[in-house]
Amino acid sequence: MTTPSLTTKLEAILFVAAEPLSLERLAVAADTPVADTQAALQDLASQTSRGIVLSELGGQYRLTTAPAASAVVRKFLRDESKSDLSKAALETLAIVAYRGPLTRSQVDTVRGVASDTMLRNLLARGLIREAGRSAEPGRPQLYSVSHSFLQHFGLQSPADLPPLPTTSEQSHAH
Amino acid sequence: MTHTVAVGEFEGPLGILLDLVERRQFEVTSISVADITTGYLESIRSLKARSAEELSEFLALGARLLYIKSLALLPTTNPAEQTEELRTLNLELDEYKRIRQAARTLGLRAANRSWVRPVAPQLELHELPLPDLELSALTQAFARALRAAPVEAPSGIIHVTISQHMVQTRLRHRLAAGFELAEVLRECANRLEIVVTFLALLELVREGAASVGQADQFGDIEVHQA
Repeated sequence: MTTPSLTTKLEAILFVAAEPLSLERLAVAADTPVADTQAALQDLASQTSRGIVLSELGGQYRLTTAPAASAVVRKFLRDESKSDLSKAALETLAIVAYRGPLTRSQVDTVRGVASDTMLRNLLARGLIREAGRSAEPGRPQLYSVSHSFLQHFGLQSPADLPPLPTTSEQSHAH
Repeated sequence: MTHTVAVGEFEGPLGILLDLVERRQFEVTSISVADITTGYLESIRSLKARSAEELSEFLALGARLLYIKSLALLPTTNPAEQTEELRTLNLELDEYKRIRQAARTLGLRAANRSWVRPVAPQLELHELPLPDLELSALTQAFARALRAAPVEAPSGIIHVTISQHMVQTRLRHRLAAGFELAEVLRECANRLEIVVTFLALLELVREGAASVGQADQFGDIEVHQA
């Protein structure tokens, strides 16, 4: 049997992993230096024509089905459920995704309304996660989006987020 | 007079204001602020807020608009203040507008969602492997169980007094030669005696007087002097 490539090894490990794995854990698992592991992961991430793609968030990696194959997978799973996120939930998620990590009061400021209940619900659904504490007085909780958030919207990493619309001055420049 | 505005989905105060502003122009100016404030106050008058707390959020923005509007009407006021208030309000509106747009785009993307394997293969199954298991082993086991079964079911209440200490002493004497647990249990007359013997043995192990071992899976449990 030929020696498997590092990319092959990493893909196999990610396939059986029950949770997202860090770069360091993958390097240890594949018994390879971190730098080589990172290069191999980049190789894996660039293979976007496959049914399985690499998803990354905050240095944690996992395999997911390709967003491009979403329709066929949905049909196979007989998943007819539509995303049930309300407009307010989507707005809160957008704020956390584009402006996070940030505190509840920072979310409130952008939305102009109290967001504690909304944040609790999104936390319970696993779409956002607690991401340490702010250095502000009282050290309030910081929130950022989760791996589940990426999967819910078919994103491979936060870099895949559609660009935030430009400011109104620019968009109305015509 | 109250009338309900048909709002498909719940809009927050900034959402209502943004709709008003977008209908008129691109931002709130010192000229449009009076008009927009009136429009906003009309919108929230017909609003059915779900709680007092929610209503206060709408009122807070209304009060802020009225304040900005009032700054233009009072000649003694620092004119720079209105400019500054308007600038802040427009910045906030702009940020909210971008987020609202981004949220819409994001919502559409949910159609392209990904899935993960919900369960990874279990790394360690706590299921014991069964080597060399044949049907004959099963029949032998059944025969053993039959032999061990009491010939007669005990009838009525049996009055026995078994002291754990007594059993312990008896077992202690046999430790030097070593014995099998099954052998000792076979000597027991009833279930109570088995329980007491078992407890006595555990006590000996706890004391460090006895050590137990099992050579192979499902094999006999051997008891030795520790």
